[in-house]
Amino acid sequence: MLASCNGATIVGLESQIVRVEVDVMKGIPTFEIVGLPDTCVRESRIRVKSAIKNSGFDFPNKRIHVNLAPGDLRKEGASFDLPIALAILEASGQLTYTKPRSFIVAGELSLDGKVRKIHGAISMALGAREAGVHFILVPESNSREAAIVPDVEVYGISSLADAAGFLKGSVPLPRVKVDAESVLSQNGQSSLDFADVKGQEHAKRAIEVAAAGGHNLLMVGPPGSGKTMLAARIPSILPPLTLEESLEVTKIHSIAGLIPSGGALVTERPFRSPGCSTTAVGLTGGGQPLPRPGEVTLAHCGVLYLDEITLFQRSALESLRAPLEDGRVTIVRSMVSVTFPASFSLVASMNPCPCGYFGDVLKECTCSAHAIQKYRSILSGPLFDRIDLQVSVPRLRKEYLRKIRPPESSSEIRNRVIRARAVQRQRLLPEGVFCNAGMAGKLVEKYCLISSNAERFLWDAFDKLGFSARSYHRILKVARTIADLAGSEQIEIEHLAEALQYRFLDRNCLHS
Amino acid sequence: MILHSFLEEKDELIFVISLPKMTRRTALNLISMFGTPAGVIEAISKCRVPSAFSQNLSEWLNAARKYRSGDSLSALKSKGIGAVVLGEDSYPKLLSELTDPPLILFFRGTLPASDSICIAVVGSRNPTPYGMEVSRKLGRELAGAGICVVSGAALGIDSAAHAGALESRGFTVAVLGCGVDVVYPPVNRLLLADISKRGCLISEYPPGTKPEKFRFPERNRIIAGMCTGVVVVEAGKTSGALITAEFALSENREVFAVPGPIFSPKSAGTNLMIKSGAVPVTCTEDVLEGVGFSPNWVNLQGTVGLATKISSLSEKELMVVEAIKAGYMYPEEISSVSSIESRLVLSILSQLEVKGVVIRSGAGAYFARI
Repeated sequence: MLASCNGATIVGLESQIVRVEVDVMKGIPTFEIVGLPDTCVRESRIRVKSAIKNSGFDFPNKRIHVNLAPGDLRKEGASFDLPIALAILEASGQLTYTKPRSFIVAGELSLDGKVRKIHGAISMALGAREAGVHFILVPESNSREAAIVPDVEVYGISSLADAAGFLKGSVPLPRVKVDAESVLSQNGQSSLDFADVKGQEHAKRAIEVAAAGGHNLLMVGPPGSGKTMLAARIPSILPPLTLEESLEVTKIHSIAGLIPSGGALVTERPFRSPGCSTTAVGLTGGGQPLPRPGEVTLAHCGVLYLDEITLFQRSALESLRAPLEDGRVTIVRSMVSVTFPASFSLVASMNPCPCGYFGDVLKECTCSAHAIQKYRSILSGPLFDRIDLQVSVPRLRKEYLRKIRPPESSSEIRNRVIRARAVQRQRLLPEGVFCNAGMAGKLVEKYCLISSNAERFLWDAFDKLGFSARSYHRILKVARTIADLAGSEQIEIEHLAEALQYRFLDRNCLHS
Repeated sequence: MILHSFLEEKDELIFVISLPKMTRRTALNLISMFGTPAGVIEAISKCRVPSAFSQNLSEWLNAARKYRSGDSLSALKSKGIGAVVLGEDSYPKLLSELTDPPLILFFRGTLPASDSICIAVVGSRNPTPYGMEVSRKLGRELAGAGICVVSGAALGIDSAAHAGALESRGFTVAVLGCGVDVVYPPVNRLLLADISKRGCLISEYPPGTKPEKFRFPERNRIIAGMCTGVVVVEAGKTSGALITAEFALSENREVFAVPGPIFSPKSAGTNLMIKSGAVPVTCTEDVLEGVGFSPNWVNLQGTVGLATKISSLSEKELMVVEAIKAGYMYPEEISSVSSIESRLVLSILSQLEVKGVVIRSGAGAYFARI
């Protein structure tokens, strides 16, 4: 007998409905799946068979054909277990629907018939809304996440028996409802706070400027000076996620399987810190048979932190160029082309020299001038050109830090950042740019108005301090952000002078 | 006799010296064998040079057959490079007194007047901020006093000495271990361009010669040779600056050393020099006195300028300067000591640096120039 049921697979960030057709007929007992299944889908035969038996049903001892349509799309993942099992039950006459037939179901089965978590539930819900189906059935632990999508009926199921019972009409299930806005407003706070970091005011200030202008940041300092600790707190001073951003981030994280069981919405800006052995594909996304989001996409709307950036493969760093430029990554394959959003703040850290102690006050550096130069040469690439701020994060001596002020909390800093961003958005609205970092050369000249005193000072500084010409626009952009933080219409000397502090690697000096 | 022929056959001499893989010694041997540079060229083109002289005889042969008198000088001229041969008036006088002087010097810029007093300031390529500042100060003040500051344009101490001399609009000479048209080390591109405009780049190697390890000790011999005194600012126990000092000693020049902390490995060489009799340098006058230069009329431009700069500073700027006096300080430490907000300290530091009152180290710490 024939039966069918709707499942879904993920392509890029979107879901595509997959029709699961099952034919149970007489013949030598076999169980075949066609329609470009990957190994995981093919293995579902074992899970489905055991789950059906252990849920109190009979597994038909017949010839079973399963077809996943459309036949030319590669299917992956364990989420087809449930639709296959339900269709087999129907085809073998053990399940008759009382519910409408237009629905999508997804879930991985365990051998005892329980339903396990899947990836990409929210994308499936979005796909379901577009297709206009009546309801969707997803594993209990994914149900809150799927229910964020309005206008879609979502039911959470915990076992195969549950699902069959619900469709038969014998087991009533409550519709899962989540109000995204209230979830977002309740949990907008990050768990890490700048108030936990004593000292490093200089670095914190650079981070504030970077956050306020959407600039990328490079921290240079010896091991143990607190670079990672600082970087991890950057999301806490970025403006809170808007609902739209939050939905997009949730979608990405859901596909990557990063949403905790029972979690609904991602409410904090992501902080991703891939290790230095991460490859280009790991960063930008890819993989077989269907491309998966990489670290740049997982960091969308948040911070991508590259610790020890000099230890990354050159090819990996080069691959960051496109996402930094366009805010998205496009992966083109012969069969599919997928675009992932990837608009993130890049924060990188590095040691000042190979041994790590160049300029350190507590330990002597053992590197030769040539070694330091070679070490820094990795920064000369086009990636480095997109990092507006550089800040040194030295280890400091206790004896000079007696009069330390209590550190500011993240929310205080965040308020200033939000204010500065609002000013920028207003100014740059006609250009379609959202923050100072996005300004190209022409816009810099147009919007970075500079007082005549400051201009004289700038030329003086270029003359005497040995900046490279390339840093000119960058300094102006950063000075613009500093002026925005100070609420100043024009860039004054003090703003410019501070901005100069964030461009030290361009300068031609190589003594400790 | 040989010297005389150099003057008349300058172009031929340049040609011979510029032959591939030619060394000073080989050139001298060839010239004494065949009489004059022109004789050497003729001998090469007629294949009369014993093959023991070089493995490049065939290349030499090709070059010599194409050679026409006047070619070498006009080629140099088109590159903006000058050449002076041993025995010419403009050849540095002290250098010609060496036992083994360079036959020819290639240069870019203006050669120092033959009666000018030259003092070398040399040292480590990887110095401490202390060494950098001392070197800069010496360069600035010696040049300000009208002395020609000579060094090797290497990273670190050498560069600081040149930079200091240029700061006080004085005269400085960089003696290179490569051709004068080769930029080495590459990061010093701007400095070298500056020196060629406002001072002089000198090399005994023909244009296009690449820097190679063995050339640097030879280069050090020229630095020591053309100077009345050599100041070693910072040098480890195995530093090349010690080679320069040794040459200087063997040629009877005055040798100075800047004392450093006894724990600092970067000052181990200089401290050792002082122990074995070098003149310790605690101020620029020590050097001037050591070479018999009366310090009375010294116009220490740099320092005078600094005093007027200090008097023009604002109150907050002075507080920052005061805080930095402790030495090598990071902005945050300055902020904590001076109780000025971190963001303001950053801004003030940039302004002070542009005014030339403080210096930023490569790692981000600051020290004052007073």
